[in-house]
Amino acid sequence: MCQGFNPIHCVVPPIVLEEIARNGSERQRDWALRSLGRDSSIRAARLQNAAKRGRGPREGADTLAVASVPQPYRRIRDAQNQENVAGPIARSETDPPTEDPAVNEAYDGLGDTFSFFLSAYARDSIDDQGMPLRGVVHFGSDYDNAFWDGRRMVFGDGDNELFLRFTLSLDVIGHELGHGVTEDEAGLEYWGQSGALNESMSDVFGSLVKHHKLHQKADEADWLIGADLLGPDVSGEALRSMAAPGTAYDDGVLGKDPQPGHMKDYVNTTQDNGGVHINSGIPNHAFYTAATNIGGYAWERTGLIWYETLRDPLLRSTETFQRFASFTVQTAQRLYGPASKDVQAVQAGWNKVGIIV
Amino acid sequence: MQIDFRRSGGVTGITLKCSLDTEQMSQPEAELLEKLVRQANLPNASFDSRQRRVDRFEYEITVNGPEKQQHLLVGERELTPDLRALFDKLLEISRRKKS
Repeated sequence: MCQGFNPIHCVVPPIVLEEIARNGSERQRDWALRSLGRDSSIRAARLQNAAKRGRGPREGADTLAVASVPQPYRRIRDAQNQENVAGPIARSETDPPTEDPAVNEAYDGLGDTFSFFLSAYARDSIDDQGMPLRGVVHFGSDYDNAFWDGRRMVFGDGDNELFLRFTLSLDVIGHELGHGVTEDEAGLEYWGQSGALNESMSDVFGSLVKHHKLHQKADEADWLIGADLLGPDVSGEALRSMAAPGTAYDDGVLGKDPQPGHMKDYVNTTQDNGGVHINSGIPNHAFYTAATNIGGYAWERTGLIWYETLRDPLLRSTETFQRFASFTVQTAQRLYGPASKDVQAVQAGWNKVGIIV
Repeated sequence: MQIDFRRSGGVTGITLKCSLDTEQMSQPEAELLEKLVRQANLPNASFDSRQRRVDRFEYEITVNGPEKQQHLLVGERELTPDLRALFDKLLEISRRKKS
Protein backbone atom coordinates (compact mmCIF):
# COMPACT_ATOMS: atom_id res chain seq x y z
CA MET A 1 0.00 0.00 0.00
CA CYS A 2 1.29 3.49 -0.84
CA GLN A 3 1.50 5.51 2.35
CA GLY A 4 4.12 8.10 1.42
CA PHE A 5 3.38 11.81 1.57
CA ASN A 6 4.10 12.00 -2.14
CA PRO A 7 1.96 9.50 -4.08
CA ILE A 8 4.45 9.59 -6.97
CA HIS A 9 6.81 7.54 -4.80
CA CYS A 10 4.65 4.51 -5.31
CA VAL A 11 4.19 4.52 -9.11
CA VAL A 12 7.32 6.09 -10.65
CA PRO A 13 9.67 3.45 -12.08
CA PRO A 14 13.37 3.59 -11.14
CA ILE A 15 14.51 4.77 -14.55
CA VAL A 16 12.32 7.85 -14.25
CA LEU A 17 13.47 8.42 -10.66
CA GLU A 18 17.05 8.42 -11.94
CA GLU A 19 16.23 11.14 -14.47
CA ILE A 20 14.59 13.22 -11.74
CA ALA A 21 17.64 12.65 -9.53
CA ARG A 22 19.87 14.08 -12.30
CA ASN A 23 17.73 16.94 -13.54
CA GLY A 24 15.14 17.85 -10.92
CA SER A 25 15.05 20.66 -8.39
CA GLU A 26 16.85 20.08 -5.08
CA ARG A 27 13.63 18.96 -3.40
CA GLN A 28 12.79 16.65 -6.31
CA ARG A 29 16.32 15.19 -6.31
CA ASP A 30 16.10 14.55 -2.55
CA TRP A 31 12.91 12.50 -2.67
CA ALA A 32 13.89 10.70 -5.87
CA LEU A 33 17.24 9.72 -4.38
CA ARG A 34 15.51 8.73 -1.16
CA SER A 35 13.28 6.37 -3.09
CA LEU A 36 16.18 4.94 -5.06
CA GLY A 37 18.45 4.79 -2.05
CA ARG A 38 16.18 2.54 -0.05
CA ASP A 39 18.17 -0.53 -1.01
CA SER A 40 21.44 1.33 -0.22
CA SER A 41 22.86 0.61 -3.67
CA ILE A 42 26.14 2.09 -4.89
CA ARG A 43 24.25 3.12 -8.00
CA ALA A 44 22.06 5.49 -5.96
CA ALA A 45 25.13 6.91 -4.24
CA ARG A 46 26.76 7.63 -7.59
CA LEU A 47 23.60 9.37 -8.77
CA GLN A 48 23.71 11.48 -5.64
CA ASN A 49 27.32 12.36 -6.34
CA ALA A 50 26.42 13.30 -9.93
CA ALA A 51 23.41 15.33 -8.78
CA LYS A 52 25.39 17.32 -6.27
CA ARG A 53 28.57 17.80 -8.27
CA GLY A 54 27.19 18.26 -11.78
CA ARG A 55 28.11 16.07 -14.72
CA GLY A 56 31.87 16.59 -14.47
CA PRO A 57 34.36 13.89 -13.56
CA ARG A 58 33.94 12.51 -10.07
CA GLU A 59 36.90 12.99 -7.80
CA GLY A 60 37.80 10.39 -5.24
CA ALA A 61 35.63 7.60 -3.86
CA ASP A 62 31.84 7.68 -3.48
CA THR A 63 32.01 9.57 -0.24
CA LEU A 64 28.32 10.37 -0.53
CA ALA A 65 27.39 6.70 -0.72
CA VAL A 66 26.45 6.81 2.95
CA ALA A 67 23.96 9.60 2.22
CA SER A 68 21.72 7.09 0.47
CA VAL A 69 21.45 4.99 3.63
CA PRO A 70 18.48 6.02 5.76
CA GLN A 71 19.43 7.86 8.93
CA PRO A 72 17.44 8.43 12.10
CA TYR A 73 16.15 11.88 12.91
CA ARG A 74 15.72 12.09 16.68
CA ARG A 75 14.39 14.86 18.88
CA ILE A 76 14.02 14.51 22.64
CA ARG A 77 11.89 16.95 24.64
CA ASP A 78 11.77 17.44 28.40
CA ALA A 79 8.28 17.49 29.92
CA GLN A 80 9.79 18.82 33.18
CA ASN A 81 7.52 16.56 35.25
CA GLN A 82 4.36 17.97 33.73
CA GLU A 83 1.97 15.97 31.55
CA ASN A 84 3.07 18.01 28.55
CA VAL A 85 4.57 16.53 25.40
CA ALA A 86 5.57 19.94 23.99
CA GLY A 87 8.26 20.83 26.51
CA PRO A 88 11.64 22.32 25.54
CA ILE A 89 13.93 20.39 23.21
CA ALA A 90 16.65 18.67 25.20
CA ARG A 91 18.58 16.96 22.44
CA SER A 92 18.32 16.81 18.65
CA GLU A 93 19.93 14.57 16.07
CA THR A 94 23.76 14.73 16.17
CA ASP A 95 23.74 16.84 19.34
CA PRO A 96 26.30 15.62 21.89
CA PRO A 97 25.13 13.85 25.06
CA THR A 98 23.59 16.06 27.72
CA GLU A 99 24.00 15.87 31.49
CA ASP A 100 20.57 14.27 31.81
CA PRO A 101 20.88 10.46 31.64
CA ALA A 102 17.18 10.07 30.77
CA VAL A 103 17.63 12.26 27.70
CA ASN A 104 20.69 10.31 26.58
CA GLU A 105 19.07 6.93 27.22
CA ALA A 106 16.01 7.91 25.20
CA TYR A 107 18.20 9.24 22.38
CA ASP A 108 20.33 6.10 22.29
CA GLY A 109 17.36 3.73 22.62
CA LEU A 110 15.50 5.35 19.75
CA GLY A 111 18.67 5.11 17.68
CA ASP A 112 19.23 1.45 18.56
CA THR A 113 15.65 0.64 17.59
CA PHE A 114 16.01 2.50 14.30
CA SER A 115 19.26 0.66 13.58
CA PHE A 116 17.65 -2.67 14.36
CA PHE A 117 14.71 -2.24 11.98
CA LEU A 118 16.97 -0.90 9.23
CA SER A 119 19.61 -3.60 9.61
CA ALA A 120 17.27 -6.55 10.15
CA TYR A 121 14.37 -5.69 7.86
CA ALA A 122 15.51 -2.74 5.69
CA ARG A 123 12.80 -0.68 7.38
CA ASP A 124 13.34 3.06 7.37
CA SER A 125 11.96 4.10 10.76
CA ILE A 126 8.53 3.35 12.23
CA ASP A 127 6.57 3.95 9.05
CA ASP A 128 9.26 2.81 6.59
CA GLN A 129 9.19 6.37 5.29
CA GLY A 130 11.82 7.91 7.57
CA MET A 131 9.41 9.06 10.28
CA PRO A 132 11.23 11.30 12.78
CA LEU A 133 11.75 9.64 16.14
CA ARG A 134 10.34 11.87 18.86
CA GLY A 135 10.80 11.20 22.56
CA VAL A 136 9.54 12.98 25.65
CA VAL A 137 11.23 12.32 29.00
CA HIS A 138 10.30 13.27 32.60
CA PHE A 139 6.59 13.02 31.76
CA GLY A 140 4.38 13.57 34.78
CA SER A 141 5.32 13.12 38.41
CA ASP A 142 6.29 9.64 39.67
CA TYR A 143 4.73 8.39 36.44
CA ASP A 144 5.41 4.67 36.26
CA ASN A 145 4.75 4.12 32.60
CA ALA A 146 5.94 4.69 29.03
CA PHE A 147 3.81 4.76 25.91
CA TRP A 148 3.69 5.45 22.18
CA ASP A 149 1.01 8.03 21.40
CA GLY A 150 1.01 7.64 17.63
CA ARG A 151 3.67 10.29 17.07
CA ARG A 152 6.16 10.02 19.90
CA MET A 153 7.42 7.87 22.68
CA VAL A 154 6.73 9.23 26.16
CA PHE A 155 8.70 8.17 29.26
CA GLY A 156 7.91 8.50 32.92
CA ASP A 157 10.54 8.59 35.65
CA GLY A 158 8.91 5.88 37.74
CA ASP A 159 8.39 6.28 41.47
CA ASN A 160 11.83 4.93 42.46
CA GLU A 161 10.17 2.37 44.68
CA LEU A 162 8.24 0.00 42.44
CA PHE A 163 9.70 1.23 39.15
CA LEU A 164 12.81 3.09 38.05
CA ARG A 165 12.90 5.51 35.13
CA PHE A 166 11.56 3.94 31.94
CA THR A 167 14.38 5.15 29.70
CA LEU A 168 16.59 2.51 31.36
CA SER A 169 14.96 -0.33 29.45
CA LEU A 170 15.96 -0.85 25.81
CA ASP A 171 13.38 -3.61 25.36
CA VAL A 172 10.62 -1.29 26.60
CA ILE A 173 11.77 1.36 24.12
CA GLY A 174 11.71 -1.24 21.34
CA HIS A 175 8.32 -2.40 22.62
CA GLU A 176 6.78 1.05 22.36
CA LEU A 177 8.22 1.86 18.94
CA GLY A 178 7.07 -1.62 17.93
CA HIS A 179 3.51 -0.44 18.54
CA GLY A 180 4.14 2.20 15.91
CA VAL A 181 5.27 -0.46 13.44
CA THR A 182 2.23 -2.62 14.18
CA GLU A 183 -0.05 0.41 13.85
CA ASP A 184 1.56 1.17 10.47
CA GLU A 185 1.30 -2.39 9.17
CA ALA A 186 -1.53 -4.59 10.48
CA GLY A 187 -3.27 -2.11 12.80
CA LEU A 188 -4.14 -4.92 15.21
CA GLU A 189 -7.10 -3.72 17.26
CA TYR A 190 -6.23 -3.12 20.91
CA TRP A 191 -8.74 -5.48 22.47
CA GLY A 192 -8.96 -9.20 23.22
CA GLN A 193 -6.85 -11.54 21.12
CA SER A 194 -5.90 -9.03 18.43
CA GLY A 195 -4.82 -6.67 21.23
CA ALA A 196 -2.78 -9.42 22.87
CA LEU A 197 -1.14 -10.08 19.48
CA ASN A 198 -0.41 -6.35 19.26
CA GLU A 199 1.24 -6.51 22.69
CA SER A 200 3.10 -9.68 21.80
CA MET A 201 4.51 -8.17 18.61
CA SER A 202 5.85 -5.32 20.73
CA ASP A 203 7.44 -7.71 23.22
CA VAL A 204 8.95 -9.59 20.28
CA PHE A 205 10.33 -6.41 18.73
CA GLY A 206 11.56 -5.14 22.09
CA SER A 207 13.39 -8.40 22.74
CA LEU A 208 14.91 -8.47 19.26
CA VAL A 209 16.15 -4.89 19.58
CA LYS A 210 17.92 -5.88 22.79
CA HIS A 211 19.32 -9.11 21.32
CA HIS A 212 20.58 -7.16 18.32
CA LYS A 213 22.25 -4.55 20.51
CA LEU A 214 23.90 -7.21 22.68
CA HIS A 215 24.68 -9.58 19.77
CA GLN A 216 22.87 -12.37 21.59
CA LYS A 217 21.62 -15.54 19.97
CA ALA A 218 18.30 -17.06 20.98
CA ASP A 219 19.86 -19.41 23.50
CA GLU A 220 21.98 -16.62 25.04
CA ALA A 221 19.17 -14.10 25.65
CA ASP A 222 17.14 -13.82 28.86
CA TRP A 223 13.81 -13.23 27.05
CA LEU A 224 12.71 -10.87 29.83
CA ILE A 225 10.79 -7.64 29.27
CA GLY A 226 11.55 -4.68 31.52
CA ALA A 227 14.18 -6.35 33.71
CA ASP A 228 15.89 -2.98 34.12
CA LEU A 229 12.83 -1.25 35.51
CA LEU A 230 11.90 -2.97 38.75
CA GLY A 231 12.70 -1.09 41.96
CA PRO A 232 15.34 -2.55 44.31
CA ASP A 233 12.83 -3.93 46.82
CA VAL A 234 10.47 -5.53 44.32
CA SER A 235 10.43 -9.30 44.45
CA GLY A 236 10.80 -10.22 40.80
CA GLU A 237 13.01 -10.31 37.74
CA ALA A 238 11.07 -8.34 35.14
CA LEU A 239 7.63 -7.26 33.93
CA ARG A 240 7.20 -10.35 31.76
CA SER A 241 9.05 -13.48 30.72
CA MET A 242 8.65 -14.84 27.19
CA ALA A 243 10.53 -18.00 28.19
CA ALA A 244 8.35 -18.70 31.23
CA PRO A 245 5.14 -16.67 31.33
CA GLY A 246 3.79 -16.24 34.83
CA THR A 247 7.17 -16.29 36.60
CA ALA A 248 8.45 -12.73 36.15
CA TYR A 249 7.45 -11.46 39.60
CA ASP A 250 5.71 -12.39 42.83
CA ASP A 251 5.58 -9.37 45.07
CA GLY A 252 3.63 -8.16 48.10
CA VAL A 253 2.50 -4.98 46.31
CA LEU A 254 2.52 -5.97 42.62
CA GLY A 255 1.01 -9.38 43.18
CA LYS A 256 1.98 -12.35 41.06
CA ASP A 257 2.72 -12.32 37.32
CA PRO A 258 -0.67 -13.29 35.81
CA GLN A 259 0.50 -14.26 32.34
CA PRO A 260 -0.59 -17.64 30.97
CA GLY A 261 1.68 -19.67 28.73
CA HIS A 262 -1.01 -21.91 27.24
CA MET A 263 -4.47 -21.50 25.78
CA LYS A 264 -5.99 -23.64 28.53
CA ASP A 265 -5.13 -20.81 30.94
CA TYR A 266 -6.40 -18.00 28.68
CA VAL A 267 -7.76 -15.20 30.88
CA ASN A 268 -11.23 -13.94 29.98
CA THR A 269 -11.51 -10.48 31.48
CA THR A 270 -12.77 -7.00 30.71
CA GLN A 271 -9.79 -5.42 32.48
CA ASP A 272 -6.77 -4.21 30.58
CA ASN A 273 -8.66 -4.03 27.28
CA GLY A 274 -9.60 -7.67 27.58
CA GLY A 275 -6.28 -8.73 29.08
CA VAL A 276 -3.95 -7.63 26.30
CA HIS A 277 -0.90 -7.54 28.62
CA ILE A 278 -1.96 -10.81 30.23
CA ASN A 279 -2.76 -13.11 27.31
CA SER A 280 0.19 -11.83 25.27
CA GLY A 281 2.09 -14.46 27.26
CA ILE A 282 0.69 -17.13 24.93
CA PRO A 283 1.96 -15.80 21.57
CA ASN A 284 5.12 -14.61 23.36
CA HIS A 285 5.91 -18.15 24.41
CA ALA A 286 5.12 -19.47 20.93
CA PHE A 287 7.70 -17.06 19.49
CA TYR A 288 10.29 -17.93 22.14
CA THR A 289 9.80 -21.66 21.51
CA ALA A 290 10.08 -21.30 17.75
CA ALA A 291 13.13 -19.04 18.00
CA THR A 292 15.03 -21.31 20.37
CA ASN A 293 14.20 -24.32 18.20
CA ILE A 294 15.45 -22.59 15.06
CA GLY A 295 18.51 -21.19 16.84
CA GLY A 296 20.91 -18.47 15.81
CA TYR A 297 19.97 -14.81 16.05
CA ALA A 298 16.22 -14.71 16.62
CA TRP A 299 15.64 -11.70 14.40
CA GLU A 300 17.07 -13.42 11.31
CA ARG A 301 14.57 -16.21 10.68
CA THR A 302 11.87 -16.37 13.39
CA GLY A 303 11.74 -12.59 13.66
CA LEU A 304 11.53 -12.30 9.89
CA ILE A 305 8.64 -14.77 9.81
CA TRP A 306 6.73 -12.76 12.40
CA TYR A 307 7.60 -9.44 10.77
CA GLU A 308 6.53 -10.57 7.31
CA THR A 309 3.34 -11.99 8.81
CA LEU A 310 2.59 -8.60 10.32
CA ARG A 311 3.00 -7.09 6.85
CA ASP A 312 0.77 -9.64 5.15
CA PRO A 313 -2.04 -7.67 3.44
CA LEU A 314 -4.50 -10.46 4.24
CA LEU A 315 -3.94 -10.13 8.00
CA ARG A 316 -7.00 -8.53 9.57
CA SER A 317 -6.96 -5.94 12.33
CA THR A 318 -9.21 -8.23 14.40
CA GLU A 319 -7.06 -11.33 13.97
CA THR A 320 -7.25 -14.21 16.45
CA PHE A 321 -4.33 -16.22 17.83
CA GLN A 322 -5.37 -19.21 15.69
CA ARG A 323 -5.46 -17.29 12.44
CA PHE A 324 -2.27 -15.39 13.20
CA ALA A 325 -0.56 -18.70 13.90
CA SER A 326 -1.74 -20.04 10.55
CA PHE A 327 -0.35 -16.97 8.85
CA THR A 328 3.06 -17.48 10.48
CA VAL A 329 3.18 -21.03 9.12
CA GLN A 330 2.25 -19.83 5.64
CA THR A 331 4.92 -17.12 5.84
CA ALA A 332 7.53 -19.65 6.95
CA GLN A 333 6.54 -21.95 4.08
CA ARG A 334 6.87 -19.07 1.64
CA LEU A 335 10.24 -17.93 2.98
CA TYR A 336 11.94 -21.24 3.72
CA GLY A 337 9.99 -23.99 1.96
CA PRO A 338 7.07 -26.18 3.04
CA ALA A 339 9.27 -28.92 4.52
CA SER A 340 11.81 -26.62 6.19
CA LYS A 341 12.87 -26.93 9.81
CA ASP A 342 11.64 -23.37 10.23
CA VAL A 343 8.07 -24.40 9.40
CA GLN A 344 8.33 -27.30 11.82
CA ALA A 345 9.70 -25.04 14.55
CA VAL A 346 6.91 -22.50 14.07
CA GLN A 347 4.31 -25.25 14.25
CA ALA A 348 5.95 -26.66 17.35
CA GLY A 349 5.98 -23.21 18.94
CA TRP A 350 2.25 -22.75 18.52
CA ASN A 351 1.49 -26.35 19.46
CA LYS A 352 3.41 -25.83 22.70
CA VAL A 353 0.94 -23.12 23.71
CA GLY A 354 -2.11 -25.11 22.68
CA ILE A 355 -2.71 -23.72 19.21
CA ILE A 356 -2.59 -26.43 16.58
CA VAL A 357 -1.34 -25.42 13.13
CA MET B 1 -18.37 3.50 52.48
CA GLN B 2 -16.81 0.57 50.67
CA ILE B 3 -14.45 1.24 47.79
CA ASP B 4 -13.03 -1.24 45.28
CA PHE B 5 -10.35 0.27 43.09
CA ARG B 6 -7.90 -0.95 40.52
CA ARG B 7 -5.53 0.54 37.97
CA SER B 8 -4.49 -1.78 35.14
CA GLY B 9 -2.78 -1.48 31.77
CA GLY B 10 0.31 0.59 31.09
CA VAL B 11 3.37 -0.96 29.51
CA THR B 12 3.99 -2.85 32.74
CA GLY B 13 0.59 -4.55 32.52
CA ILE B 14 0.66 -4.69 36.32
CA THR B 15 -2.53 -4.04 38.26
CA LEU B 16 -2.49 -2.03 41.48
CA LYS B 17 -5.65 -2.45 43.52
CA CYS B 18 -7.24 -2.02 46.90
CA SER B 19 -10.53 -2.81 48.61
CA LEU B 20 -11.38 -0.84 51.70
CA ASP B 21 -14.11 0.10 54.10
CA THR B 22 -13.81 3.64 55.40
CA GLU B 23 -15.40 2.55 58.67
CA GLN B 24 -12.31 0.45 59.33
CA MET B 25 -9.86 3.25 58.62
CA SER B 26 -8.51 6.03 60.77
CA GLN B 27 -10.93 8.92 60.95
CA PRO B 28 -8.73 11.46 59.18
CA GLU B 29 -8.06 9.14 56.27
CA ALA B 30 -11.70 8.03 56.08
CA GLU B 31 -12.92 11.63 56.02
CA LEU B 32 -10.40 12.51 53.32
CA LEU B 33 -11.49 9.61 51.14
CA GLU B 34 -15.18 10.33 51.53
CA LYS B 35 -14.55 13.95 50.62
CA LEU B 36 -12.54 12.95 47.54
CA VAL B 37 -15.32 10.57 46.44
CA ARG B 38 -17.93 13.32 46.75
CA GLN B 39 -15.79 15.77 44.80
CA ALA B 40 -15.09 13.23 42.06
CA ASN B 41 -18.78 13.24 41.17
CA LEU B 42 -18.91 9.61 40.13
CA PRO B 43 -21.84 8.53 37.97
CA ASN B 44 -24.75 6.84 39.67
CA ALA B 45 -24.92 4.09 37.06
CA SER B 46 -22.11 1.99 35.67
CA PHE B 47 -20.26 3.94 33.03
CA ASP B 48 -17.44 2.90 30.75
CA SER B 49 -15.67 5.82 29.16
CA ARG B 50 -12.47 4.04 28.22
CA GLN B 51 -10.88 4.56 24.86
CA ARG B 52 -8.53 1.82 23.82
CA ARG B 53 -5.17 3.53 23.90
CA VAL B 54 -1.98 1.55 23.66
CA ASP B 55 -0.15 1.09 26.96
CA ARG B 56 -2.15 3.73 28.82
CA PHE B 57 -3.60 3.13 32.26
CA GLU B 58 -7.25 2.36 32.85
CA TYR B 59 -9.04 2.77 36.15
CA GLU B 60 -12.06 1.06 37.66
CA ILE B 61 -13.78 2.15 40.84
CA THR B 62 -16.89 0.88 42.60
CA VAL B 63 -18.25 2.76 45.60
CA ASN B 64 -20.94 1.26 47.80
CA GLY B 65 -22.30 4.00 50.01
CA PRO B 66 -25.25 4.07 52.39
CA GLU B 67 -27.66 5.13 49.65
CA LYS B 68 -26.27 4.11 46.29
CA GLN B 69 -23.66 2.30 44.30
CA GLN B 70 -21.42 4.07 41.86
CA HIS B 71 -19.19 2.46 39.22
CA LEU B 72 -16.83 3.95 36.68
CA LEU B 73 -14.33 2.67 34.13
CA VAL B 74 -12.12 5.40 32.72
CA GLY B 75 -8.85 5.83 30.82
CA GLU B 76 -6.05 8.01 32.12
CA ARG B 77 -6.52 10.60 29.42
CA GLU B 78 -10.14 11.10 30.43
CA LEU B 79 -9.42 11.89 34.10
CA THR B 80 -10.78 15.08 35.58
CA PRO B 81 -8.63 16.79 38.26
CA ASP B 82 -11.03 15.54 40.96
CA LEU B 83 -10.88 11.96 39.69
CA ARG B 84 -7.10 12.18 39.57
CA ALA B 85 -6.97 13.39 43.18
CA LEU B 86 -9.17 10.48 44.31
CA PHE B 87 -7.19 7.91 42.30
CA ASP B 88 -3.82 9.25 43.51
CA LYS B 89 -4.98 8.66 47.09
CA LEU B 90 -6.23 5.17 46.28
CA LEU B 91 -2.97 4.36 44.48
CA GLU B 92 -1.05 5.41 47.58
CA ILE B 93 -3.13 2.92 49.57
CA SER B 94 -2.65 0.25 46.88
CA ARG B 95 1.12 0.53 47.16
CA ARG B 96 1.13 -0.42 50.81
CA LYS B 97 2.43 -3.93 51.25
CA LYS B 98 -0.26 -6.50 51.91
CA SER B 99 0.22 -8.28 55.23
